[in-house]
Amino acid sequence: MNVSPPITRKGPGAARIGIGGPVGSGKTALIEALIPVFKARGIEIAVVTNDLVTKEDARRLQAGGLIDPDRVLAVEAGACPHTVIREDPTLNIAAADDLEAAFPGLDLIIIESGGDNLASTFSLDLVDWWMFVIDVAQGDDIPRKRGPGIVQSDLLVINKLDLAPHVFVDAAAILAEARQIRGDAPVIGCRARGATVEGIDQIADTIARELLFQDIPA
Amino acid sequence: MSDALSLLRLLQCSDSAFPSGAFAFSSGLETLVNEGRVQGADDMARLLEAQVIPRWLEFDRPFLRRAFHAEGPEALLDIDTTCHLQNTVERLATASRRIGRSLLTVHARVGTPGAEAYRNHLRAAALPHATGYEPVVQGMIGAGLRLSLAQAEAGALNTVVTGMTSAAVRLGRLGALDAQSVLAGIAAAMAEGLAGTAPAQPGAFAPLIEIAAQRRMAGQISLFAT
Ligand SMILES: Nc1nc2c(ncn2[C@@H]2O[C@H](COP(=O)(O)OP(=O)(O)OP(=O)(O)O)[C@@H](O)[C@H]2O)c(=O)[nH]1
Ligand SMILES: [Mg+2]
Repeated sequence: MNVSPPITRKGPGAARIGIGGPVGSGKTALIEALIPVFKARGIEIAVVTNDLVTKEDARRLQAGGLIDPDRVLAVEAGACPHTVIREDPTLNIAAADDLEAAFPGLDLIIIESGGDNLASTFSLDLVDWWMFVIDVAQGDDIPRKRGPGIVQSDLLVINKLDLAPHVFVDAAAILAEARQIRGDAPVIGCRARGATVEGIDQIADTIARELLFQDIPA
Repeated sequence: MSDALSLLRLLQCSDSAFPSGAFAFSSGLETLVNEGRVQGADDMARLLEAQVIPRWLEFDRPFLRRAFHAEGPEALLDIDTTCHLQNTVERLATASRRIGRSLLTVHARVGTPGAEAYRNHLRAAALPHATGYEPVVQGMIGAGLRLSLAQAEAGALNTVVTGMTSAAVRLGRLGALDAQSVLAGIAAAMAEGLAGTAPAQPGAFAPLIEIAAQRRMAGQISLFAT
């Protein structure tokens, strides 16, 4: 059973979730892996991307064939990826509002932050819930460095588990350390890309349980 | 309203921490920087004095003034629509709408009188690509906050000018301290412009920034949306 209290959502419309994390940790790859899982479950989604200097991520999602291109909007961050998700989230709020107006049946709007550093956090004006994605190849000491993203996110995802042996990282140890630092807050290890993926269903379950109030056993 | 109260509300709205989305736009500056036309503090001061400030005084200012005096959402929508029809520079128009709509959202949430009513009116009128222009929203909000017209105008011009200098800092063309020197140097020209009579009819010609804003190509690597 889900023991933590349900998240209170900002409004009656689609739940809004944030995905933050350092550059290249696999945020877009994770969205790409989650889309078919949500689709199979009948969960209607749309995506807002905040690329730093191009519309690369939005184009990649739009061209990928996984999602209707109209359901993907790019918001330029004016050189400040953290500003658009925290100090001044108004452009992202407007983009999410536009998506909601265009697709009234949406269940979930995913907002991908431009890659930033360990200090980035989402404003709760913008999202109901957010996850932080790091990967094993950035060093096994990342959880220890804490940082607001690691500590305050609703879910910490450690991606690229497949790379652990290649970068001399003990995957089990990094996950254990992250769990210890975060106490009761969840940590999920995953692999978003490759011949097989891992941990994606678990992430989708967590989102469905916490935000869409689906009765999924923990 | 006491002077101190309106001054405090003006300072609140002029604070760079006030969320409006404006930081994501450079109004053509990024293109000018990439092309080497703006390289430092002197170029920046000249651009502000010759292009940015005159464009605001001649184009945005009359709309702000009309909106400040407008009675109710219907009248505001008329002014907004005129602003749309007279805005010939598509990219700058888009930026103005996105900032105006952001401002409206924030002021509606903060409870500024008139903001929620106008936002709802725009939603119902369903013209998202033709309304919500920044000077119109600024005029309406200035009146809602009971600023004087002069305060609302000074605040709006200041927003445009500081937006350009902070974009220049992020583009690496101006040090953070240089930016303050540029602002200090340009303040007299801003005040002089504000002291002059506002044109009855909006009209502007600031070819350098207008064309630079349009010249930005879709595929270009850029930090800003304009
Ligand atoms: N080996 C491996 N590579 C991955 C995995 N997930 C993502 N990648 C690769 O990591 C790189 C970056 O992935 P993206 O999804 O673009 O990362 P991002 O966090 O969205 O990057 P930015 O948006 O630029 O910050 C790409 O080359 C992916 O193919 C994974 O689980 N394993
Ligand atoms: Mg990405």
